[in-house]
Amino acid sequence: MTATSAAPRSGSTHAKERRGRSPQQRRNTFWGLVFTAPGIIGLVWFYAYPVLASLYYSFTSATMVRPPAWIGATNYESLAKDPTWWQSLSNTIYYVVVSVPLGIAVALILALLLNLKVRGQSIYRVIFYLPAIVPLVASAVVWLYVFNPQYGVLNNVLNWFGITGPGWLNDPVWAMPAIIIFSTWGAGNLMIILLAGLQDVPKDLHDQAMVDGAGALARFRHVTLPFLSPHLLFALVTGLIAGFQFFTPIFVLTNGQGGPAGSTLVSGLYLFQNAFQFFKIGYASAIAWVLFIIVALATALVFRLVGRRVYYGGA
Amino acid sequence: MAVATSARAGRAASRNTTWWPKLAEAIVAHAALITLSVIFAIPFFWMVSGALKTGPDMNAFPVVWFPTTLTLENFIAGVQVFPFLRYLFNTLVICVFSMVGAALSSSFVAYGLSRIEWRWRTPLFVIILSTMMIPFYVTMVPLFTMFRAMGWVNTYLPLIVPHFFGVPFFIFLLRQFFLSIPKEMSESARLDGANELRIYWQIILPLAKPALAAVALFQFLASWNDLLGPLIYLSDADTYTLSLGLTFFRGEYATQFGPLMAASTVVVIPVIVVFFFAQRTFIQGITLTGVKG
Amino acid sequence: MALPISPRTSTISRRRALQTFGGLGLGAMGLLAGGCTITKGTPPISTVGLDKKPAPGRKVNIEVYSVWGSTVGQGLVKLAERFEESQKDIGVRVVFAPAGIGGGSVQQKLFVAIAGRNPPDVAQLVPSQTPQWADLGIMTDLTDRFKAAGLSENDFFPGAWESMSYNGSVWQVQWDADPNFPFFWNKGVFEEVGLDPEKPPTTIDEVDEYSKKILKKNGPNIARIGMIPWDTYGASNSMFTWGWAFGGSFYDKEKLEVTPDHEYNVKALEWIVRYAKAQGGADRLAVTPPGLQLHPFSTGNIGMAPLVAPNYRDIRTNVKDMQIGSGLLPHQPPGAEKEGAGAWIGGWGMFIPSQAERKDEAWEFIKWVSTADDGTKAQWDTVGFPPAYNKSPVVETMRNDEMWKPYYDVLTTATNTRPPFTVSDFFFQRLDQEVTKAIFGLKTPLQALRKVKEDSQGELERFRKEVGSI
Repeated sequence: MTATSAAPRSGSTHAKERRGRSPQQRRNTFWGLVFTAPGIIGLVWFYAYPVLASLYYSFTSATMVRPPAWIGATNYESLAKDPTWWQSLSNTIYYVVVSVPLGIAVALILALLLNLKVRGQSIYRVIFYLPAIVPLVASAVVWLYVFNPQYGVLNNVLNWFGITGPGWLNDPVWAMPAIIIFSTWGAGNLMIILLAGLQDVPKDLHDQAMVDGAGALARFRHVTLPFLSPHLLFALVTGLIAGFQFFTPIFVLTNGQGGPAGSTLVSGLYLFQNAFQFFKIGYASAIAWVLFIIVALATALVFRLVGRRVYYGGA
Repeated sequence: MAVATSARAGRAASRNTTWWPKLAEAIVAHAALITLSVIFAIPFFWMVSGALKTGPDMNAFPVVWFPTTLTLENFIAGVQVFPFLRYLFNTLVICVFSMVGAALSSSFVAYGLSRIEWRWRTPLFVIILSTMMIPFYVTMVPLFTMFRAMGWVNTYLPLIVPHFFGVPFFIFLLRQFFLSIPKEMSESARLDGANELRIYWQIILPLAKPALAAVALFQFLASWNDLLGPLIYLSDADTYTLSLGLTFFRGEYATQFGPLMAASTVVVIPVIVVFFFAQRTFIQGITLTGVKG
Repeated sequence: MALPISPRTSTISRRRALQTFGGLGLGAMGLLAGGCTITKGTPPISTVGLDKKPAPGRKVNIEVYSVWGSTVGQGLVKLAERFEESQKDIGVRVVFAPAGIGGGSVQQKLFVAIAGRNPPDVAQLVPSQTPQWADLGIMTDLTDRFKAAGLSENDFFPGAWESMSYNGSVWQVQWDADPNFPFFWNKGVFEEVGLDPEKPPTTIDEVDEYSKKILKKNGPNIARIGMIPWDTYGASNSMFTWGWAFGGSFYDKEKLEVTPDHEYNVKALEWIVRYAKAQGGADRLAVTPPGLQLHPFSTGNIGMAPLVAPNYRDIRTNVKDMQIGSGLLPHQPPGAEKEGAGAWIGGWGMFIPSQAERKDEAWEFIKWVSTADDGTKAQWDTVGFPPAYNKSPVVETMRNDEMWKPYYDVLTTATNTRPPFTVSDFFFQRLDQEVTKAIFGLKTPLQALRKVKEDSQGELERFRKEVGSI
């Protein structure tokens, strides 16, 4: 539906009859099917059954062992009346709205820095990527120290400036910002993607702009940004998708509770609790499908708003 | 042709700049890079220093950043709790197969969704994208049931085979890169009589090397760090992976942090080494090759 | 067999460590480590670990899921070996199926295995989950086997029995009865602030009094505190412990009614909130950074604390010069009448999944581990958990062991357990969430506990409607 806007429009080069089955079109359909065949097989083989099963479960009182009993839309109705769900959704939206743009901005800055032609870049690249490599159990421990209100690094640094830092993970107001800081710091993968994307920016265009007297900012805006735009779109869409399902670091940092006082209880965690602590597979599936619809709508919106402005060198 | 113009422009640019802004630029760049490095290296540093700490340093509060006494006890204990080499081998088997499968199949599917004009490519892309939006935890149980029916439980198949059928995240990633490659590249090859398979293999893949390297890296790391998959599907200790091994240190009330940090360090080092040697690939873009001859 | 797990049995000088690093590099570390311990030809690989294959040549092999890593997991492997030595027919495969990867005590592997019709023969659970798991059809009814073995209610400590039986049947046998908690105080701190180190507080009022003397602040942060009642092993456990210490109760078995808003529970939470406020706010105190191997009581900045046995043991071995007094938890009249009223029995139980294939052999294992004289003794020697079976010789051993004596006192006197009912996990989660809201002043204690009641009672009705009862 909406992804059309992102798809390249190249009708001009391939001026062909609209609906006719020209040999060219038939050949394209053949090759299109050949190339996407593994994906199609994968969809049918590994996705169709589990996805449809979870959709079915969402209309049942499925638990673990007993055969699921059909209860119609009951799960969805209770969900609408469940304050904890609404709280989790608002926590999730808070997280997504702040962390996705922030994560992209940080990854972009890192990628631009790493793309500078200075010495020692190979070392810097490794270091910036470390957070993505170090196992969560190890990095979580570090951050618990960083955020410690009394002895933590963060509050000590704030102290130098005369600021009394908050309780971070101990404080319902500051726990989510702490989580966002933690996940932003792990932006290494996106950094790599953008770094790879930066290699597609033609150097001659850059140099030409420089000769023409364009400043660094103008060059970034008019040369770098258009070439990066497909990857920024990718970052935004996958960021949204992952953001709505995000919860593992919260699980580790708050001992599975989403605390304090439910301030970091995001929808992904609530789903997990329902499925594996309360055995409400049906209810958890309903949460999953509501989340699916929200993410799908958000993604559609992104493609509609941003997708058009993406520049594809191949289009 | 692109090569020639850019080379000329490059020379022109270097003639027009004097040396001092370059120096200032380098100083600012290094200052920023070093500051950020400190922030990003903290967890790694903490992990390694924790691995070398004795009990009192480990438990000190406020924290001790540099161990007062170095010890290798943690490494001795950490590497012994599970058969390290065995698990390393198991993990590598899963990682390498998954990596090859994911890179090949995802690029293949992405090619069909980006370099060929056909009717169903957008709807198909939307479907593939939407599979990413369903939280894994609700499909996990049906998926397990299915793999069990297929007799795949207690084998590596559930951890490897699905990667040979396109990973949605990578398909999307590569699609974006493929769409950025100028159309003329394919057109001229088609005129020369190359079929799509050849264009895919000989033109598009080499041009998208940084992106492919990123995909390979991400899949490698994802398999390397995957805990849930091995936890659910493997029940024979001989088949376990390193990430499962790292959970061995967690007791009911206390985790053995020293040995955990030591084992984590040993698990992480190979990845860092691989990354260090692989990272050149990420900056080998289309335009770079040929310009600096 | 001996494992150099304790991180401080030997220390290498910085210089030697540096030489080692320089000479061998990190990659060779594994080999070096192996070299140090391959003594007497034992391969370093298979001697330890958290899994085990069944002994060869047994008639039947059962599969047991082990929940914890670390020394507990290794202990369970050794325990299984001891079981194999005790008889000739049954072999045991131990599979490491960790609970709560990352947090909590959720057993993903077990659930997926059960849902996927692929369960082990022996699995474990938190005792309060019994009614829910029984009604969901996950567990095998053990009543007949239990009776045939000559066992009865009187053989178990009341706190444990409370969760083993449900609706007139026995569903699991508790092999680990965790006495939560004795009360400890730091004699050094008491002396420093002019308190009698041999006279602990017996009532909550006295706790308040003592705490005023102990509290020391460093700007807005707390440098030394009397006690941290809002973090007695998490918010919901805090609520249980202090709720009972005030004389409260949480579930009415006769009326099938959740009662978190019981008068004395409210009083207890009001006290916790007041206490936190008096110390300067709960957010100012980083109480349990999980990075610490040792409970923060070990820092000497906490005057009094309820502690689980492994924490107490670790403090004793690591901070040898600390003088620690022990006794029963303070209580608060008029709701509670005697010291230790807040104590309860936690731990883990073993059960046979309903689809398990080798139930008789599974039962033999459970019976031996949790009720046999030699079995419980073997368990004590390998894993080291207090037994729920009150006739075990281990109980006497605990009494005569200086370290374990405080736990013996709790084990033999505590009658509470976290209420086992069909939606107890849901209840705990809500309790956790709402109690923290009260602690942070987002709700009054009464509002918070009423909310828990409302939500949990609704969930209880839903469960009854959708799942029904055995």
